[in-house]
Amino acid sequence: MFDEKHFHSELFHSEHHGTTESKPLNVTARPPLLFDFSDGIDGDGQLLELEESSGQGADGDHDSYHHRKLLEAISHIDGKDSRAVVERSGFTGKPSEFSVSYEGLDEKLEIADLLPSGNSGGRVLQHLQKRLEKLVHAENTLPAPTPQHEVEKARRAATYTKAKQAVDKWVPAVLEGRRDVSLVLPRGNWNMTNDLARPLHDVTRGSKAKTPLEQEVWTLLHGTSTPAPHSKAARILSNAMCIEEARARRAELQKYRALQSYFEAKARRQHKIKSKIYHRIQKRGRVKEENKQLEKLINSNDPSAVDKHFQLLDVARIKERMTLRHKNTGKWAKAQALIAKHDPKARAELQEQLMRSKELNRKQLTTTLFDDGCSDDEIQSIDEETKPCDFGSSTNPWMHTSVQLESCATLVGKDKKKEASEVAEDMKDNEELLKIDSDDDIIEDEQTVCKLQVNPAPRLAQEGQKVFSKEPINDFNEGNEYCEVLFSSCDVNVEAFETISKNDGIKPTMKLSKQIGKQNRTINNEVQSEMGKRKRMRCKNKMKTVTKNSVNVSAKSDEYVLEKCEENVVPSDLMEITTETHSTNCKKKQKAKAGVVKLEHNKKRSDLRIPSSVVFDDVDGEELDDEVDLAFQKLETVTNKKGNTEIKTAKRTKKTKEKSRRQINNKRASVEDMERTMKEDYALSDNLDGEQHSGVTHADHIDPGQFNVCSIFDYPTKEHCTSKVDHVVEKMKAGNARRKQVLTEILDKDKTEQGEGALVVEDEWEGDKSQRALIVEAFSGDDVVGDFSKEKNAKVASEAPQVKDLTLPGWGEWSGGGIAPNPRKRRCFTIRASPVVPRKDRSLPHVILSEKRNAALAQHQVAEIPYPFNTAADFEQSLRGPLGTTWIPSQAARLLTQPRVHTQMGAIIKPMSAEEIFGDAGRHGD
Amino acid sequence: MVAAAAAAGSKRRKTEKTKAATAAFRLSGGKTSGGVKGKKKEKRLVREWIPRGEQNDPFVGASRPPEATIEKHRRGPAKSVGGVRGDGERSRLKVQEKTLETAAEQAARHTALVAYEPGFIEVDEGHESGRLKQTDITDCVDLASAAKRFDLSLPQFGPYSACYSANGRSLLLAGRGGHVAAVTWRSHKLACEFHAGGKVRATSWLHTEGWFAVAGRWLSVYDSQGIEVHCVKRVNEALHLRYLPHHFLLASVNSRSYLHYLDISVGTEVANIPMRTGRPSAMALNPQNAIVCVGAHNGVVRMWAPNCQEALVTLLCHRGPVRSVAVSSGGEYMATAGGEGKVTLWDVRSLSPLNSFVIPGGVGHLDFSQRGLLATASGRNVKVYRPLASGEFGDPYLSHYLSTAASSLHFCPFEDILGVGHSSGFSSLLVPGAGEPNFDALEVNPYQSKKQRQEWEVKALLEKIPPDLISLDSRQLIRLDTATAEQRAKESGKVEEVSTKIELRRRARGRDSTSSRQRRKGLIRVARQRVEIKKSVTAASKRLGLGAKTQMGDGSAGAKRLGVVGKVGKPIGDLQKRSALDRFAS
Repeated sequence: MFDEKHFHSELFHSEHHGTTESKPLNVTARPPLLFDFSDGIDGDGQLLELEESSGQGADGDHDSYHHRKLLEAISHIDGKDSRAVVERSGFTGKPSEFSVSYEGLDEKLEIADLLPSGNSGGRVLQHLQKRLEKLVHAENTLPAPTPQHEVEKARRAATYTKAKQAVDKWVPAVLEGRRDVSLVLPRGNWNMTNDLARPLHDVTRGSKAKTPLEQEVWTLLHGTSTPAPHSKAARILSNAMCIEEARARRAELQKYRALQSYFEAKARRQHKIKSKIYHRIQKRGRVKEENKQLEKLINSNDPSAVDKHFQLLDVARIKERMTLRHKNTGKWAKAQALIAKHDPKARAELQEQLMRSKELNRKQLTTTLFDDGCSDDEIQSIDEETKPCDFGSSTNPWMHTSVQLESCATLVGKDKKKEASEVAEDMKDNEELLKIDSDDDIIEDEQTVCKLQVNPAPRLAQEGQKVFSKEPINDFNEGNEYCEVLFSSCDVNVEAFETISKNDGIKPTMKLSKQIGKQNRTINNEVQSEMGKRKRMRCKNKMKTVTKNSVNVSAKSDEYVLEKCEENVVPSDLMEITTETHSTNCKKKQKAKAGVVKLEHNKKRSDLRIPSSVVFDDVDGEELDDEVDLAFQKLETVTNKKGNTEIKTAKRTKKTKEKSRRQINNKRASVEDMERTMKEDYALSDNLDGEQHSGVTHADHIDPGQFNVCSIFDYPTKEHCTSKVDHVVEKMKAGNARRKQVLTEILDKDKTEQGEGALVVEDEWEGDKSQRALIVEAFSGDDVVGDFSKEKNAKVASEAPQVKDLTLPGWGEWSGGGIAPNPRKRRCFTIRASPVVPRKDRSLPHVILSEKRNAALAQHQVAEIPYPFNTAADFEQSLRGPLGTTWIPSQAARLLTQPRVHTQMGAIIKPMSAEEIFGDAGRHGD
Repeated sequence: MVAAAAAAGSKRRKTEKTKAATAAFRLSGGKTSGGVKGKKKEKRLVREWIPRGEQNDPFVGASRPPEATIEKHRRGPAKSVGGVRGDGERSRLKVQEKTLETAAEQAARHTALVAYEPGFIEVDEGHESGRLKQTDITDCVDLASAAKRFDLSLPQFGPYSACYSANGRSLLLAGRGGHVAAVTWRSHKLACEFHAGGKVRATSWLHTEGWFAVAGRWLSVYDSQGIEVHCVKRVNEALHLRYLPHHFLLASVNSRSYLHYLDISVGTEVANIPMRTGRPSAMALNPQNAIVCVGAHNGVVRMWAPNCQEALVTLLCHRGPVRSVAVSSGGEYMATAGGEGKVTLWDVRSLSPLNSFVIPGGVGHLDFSQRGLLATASGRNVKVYRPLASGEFGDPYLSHYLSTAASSLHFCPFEDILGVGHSSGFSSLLVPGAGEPNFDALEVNPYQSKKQRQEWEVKALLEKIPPDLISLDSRQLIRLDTATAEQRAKESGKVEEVSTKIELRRRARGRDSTSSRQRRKGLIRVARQRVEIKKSVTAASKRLGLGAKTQMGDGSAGAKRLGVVGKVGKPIGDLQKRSALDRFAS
């Protein structure tokens, strides 16, 4: 197609003519083709044009010839120029100077030749020329060839893409290999993981369990329990259903869906109705319907249906009781109300529930009163007494008029729970004792109700726990001391019970109870006197007052008394007396506040004072007395304000006086017993002076509790009392240390005496006091607890971070007497202590834990979190399971310790092949 | 519809048929298909043995043991591995978690193989097992068991201490008077008997029955023939001996309150710790973490490890002296007996007392059996209690009255036997339910043959745990050490390289010029060099055994030996010169 000859001739021609033919050259001449992609459309188009132009040239030659002839003729018309203008238009072998051969006429004539050169053509021509140029440029110019570096870049990009594609298809295979726990090489030859998962004997010894034993073991280990489908296909088949079935099912589902939406819409509509009347009517209807159903159910002779219904109700009740509501508004309660006409039991049950509700809703006065801020951990009501009035149904909670102030034992610290349980046991014991005694006593019917009002054990426990909780950690010594006091008092308690049991049958119950009460109180006082040193006293009491009508008044006054107790720390005796008197008052239905009645009684006032002063051994007794007086005066005014005039002393009946006197007599009678026990106690502690050995009632060597009673009769004056009390307290103090030591060594925890061993212990210990004394003597020199706490304190102090002061007085400044080093300098040269890390044994007073770092072990520990882990917890988690066959089954051990790559000896490991990974497709692809 | 159902039914039947066929094939193996090909196939197909009766077993795969049993074998709950970097690592950890779960499951499954269930004596209502006599028990049990109840009358060299070997096969009797006898007690065969030539205070078996240690004036090691193999004079006047089986350590305490650890595999002294507590009154080993508990006269029990010079735990247990200490086999509980007559049970993990009771006259000896029975000996009374998990002791499980006062208690491992050494011999008492009925033959094998013993010995030596790893918390090793690198370097003895970069504080008002900085840097460099030289010289003098006295500069002798002495004998350089800054050095 390409006319090469023509091309060359033209080229030559244009070269020959030099000046004019630069543009046509552009048209025809083409640079040699460098790239194969350049034979594109552009090149082809140009070629076609060239062809065309050559075809036109053949026709044009003829025209131009005529045209030239015409021009000649025109020029000859005017006759001026005879000489013919000869134009050389081609090249010949011999060009003549004058004439030109016409051979060249056949040749192509360029358009530019037609245009006159210079300015001869005028503006129009110029314009034409321009247009021509433009045309030529627009249509025929080839784009400049792409630069070499760009071409290279393109080629590289293409190569990269191709290579990437080729490599990328291997990525999944490689990643899989990386994710695998182990890589088996050569690939696919050996199912390593399967082999590893199999038990060893299976791998090594074939698969047959030969002997019956082996077979049995196999069955034991591999016996099956889970039903499994036969195969996947079977499973699909079994689950499949026929088309009709499926359609029916679908229709059913659609129906349900539609129904659901209707109901929803309806419910929404109804929900939007605001009319109360509407809802009321609705509800009424609903309830009526329910009731009808229930009636029907009850009347119908279908026990199973009834049972079912009641089961549902029970569930409802359980749910309600979990909320601790116990109201009569619940589902169960309502149903119960309905059933009540058929079943009398139901009524009782409902009432019981209501009673419980009342009980639960009662204000927990005691908790707030005795709560001293630090003991709010665990509050537990240990005992509660309910005393129904004589009239009204005992079961109906609404008919109860008595206000019951419960005693609360505040138990602090979870580890002390045990003590509480012991305490409860103690209490039970006490009560049992009383019950036994009451069988054979006849005196004073109204007083047989009297119970042990103040039980020391819970109080002791409570106080002990409070102290424990309050105790700062470093204050270990004090804690121990307190423990010892506690233990010692327990011991006293035990002995008191012994004496009681000895006198069994002789004393009336009242006396006994009084005695026990006294005894307990004494113990309490002892403990409190110890506690008083540290100004940490709590009195916890069980108070019970029964006032029929003046509920509010009595409650308030009680509160007031208790508040005073809080403030002044009045000992428990006050409460004791209050409770003592209440029974008589109740009997006569006097609306009197018991404590206030007592208050008016002078003798008893002194009685009140003494224990308080005993308790406050380091506080002035008179001051306290004043305080107590003040408290009672206030109490009086309060009760007076309420208009309860009956409680005044003037209106006290003669009978009351008699009662109180009898009580006092009882107290006196019990003094002797108490003396005896106290004496034993003192003898035990080896603290008897010469004057303290007689059994005579004398204030010098009696216990505060004892003294308490004696003073009522013998030492009525206040001054005398206090002085005597001081004396006793001094005695107590003197013997304190020794007592403590002895008792603590013998009895750490009386509760631990249990079972057979315990019985033996009691017998032997009690029987053989000399042995006990021997042991006491043997360890008399040791203060084990003290030494230990000293050791611990020293250790703690030595290991605490310390401040280093490196100041050199006189360095850069004057120093000497009266000149303090510059504080700024001191600050500069002081190395601050590192922040205190809490010790591990801070909450264990009986333990010293070494805070020393185990450097030897640390050498074997990992110090930095290794690669794939981000947190220490993750790392430690990954190490938590052992790997060895000593600890886990061998199969698992093998799996856990298998190498990352398994190879077979002698097998050639070839690189991954495409065939292997991608199958046949891979082979064709590469 | 009916037709469709029928079709489905037929299909189902078909699959069942094929299933049955495969099962039969799997069972019969190569029988159906003969030839080489068939054999090959058989190898591939028959992986597991299927019992004949269960060809059509509707249940596939092994049964899952009860969850509670699996939980017992799990090592803590599995956590997600979401926080782990790396795709591969994460997936591998996931697999590991799965494997651990499988391990727990397998272990749980294997508990089915544990043949013997532990049990105790059960008495009729109204009776107490504590009142049973040994004769009552021997009357009831089989002859072989009854033969295990025997008494040895050894009135001459008493009081005797008895010690069973780890597998319970051999018994070592040692009278305070010096009589030592090793007995294979089941066959009543005497392995060896000799007189130690002096007082014997304590004895202990070593890693096998072939060796035992006797503490008299010095510590002697005998072989089973009664030949004295070693005499370790470094350990003198030892009062108690305890052997740490996994560490090959023999721990001893002596009357001067030194705790000594001897590595019996290589014969080196691992630690000699001055406890400074006075004469130790009791000693026990916590088998779980290899911590030694030593009781003292002041009611304190201290817990020791060889790699710590101070007690890890100091526990005030009693108001009187501690008379005996025992730790349960799992290491959870510790029982202590105090001079004031009390026995207290402690939870070792929380270091809190669980319960205590008083025994008149006090308890002199305590021992825990493998299954948690606690034997107490007070005078001639031997009582065995069954403490509950709550710490309650209850009534004595069994009691026995000896002819003379007991001097040692030791439960026989893997046997329901309590060995009691007393003043005039030894009594072997039957205590049903005391020993662990199932043993791990790879660990401790009561029926070990000689070959097995030899193999075990090698294995045990290979698995010997270094004493460094003893710590209160046995899982401490898998924890990350949070100490700084500096501290670790200091502890390991590798001195941290002093950073060569000198950082100067900036000074104000033109005093921080370049020249001044250079000068100051130079000074610091010199000072550092000085410190280095000082250190190296000190170290060298120590190495050459010059002692602390002849340190650098103090005497020319040390310097001479170091080769830093000039002609005149004066040390080169300014080593002797003291700097004004030296007073800050200490």
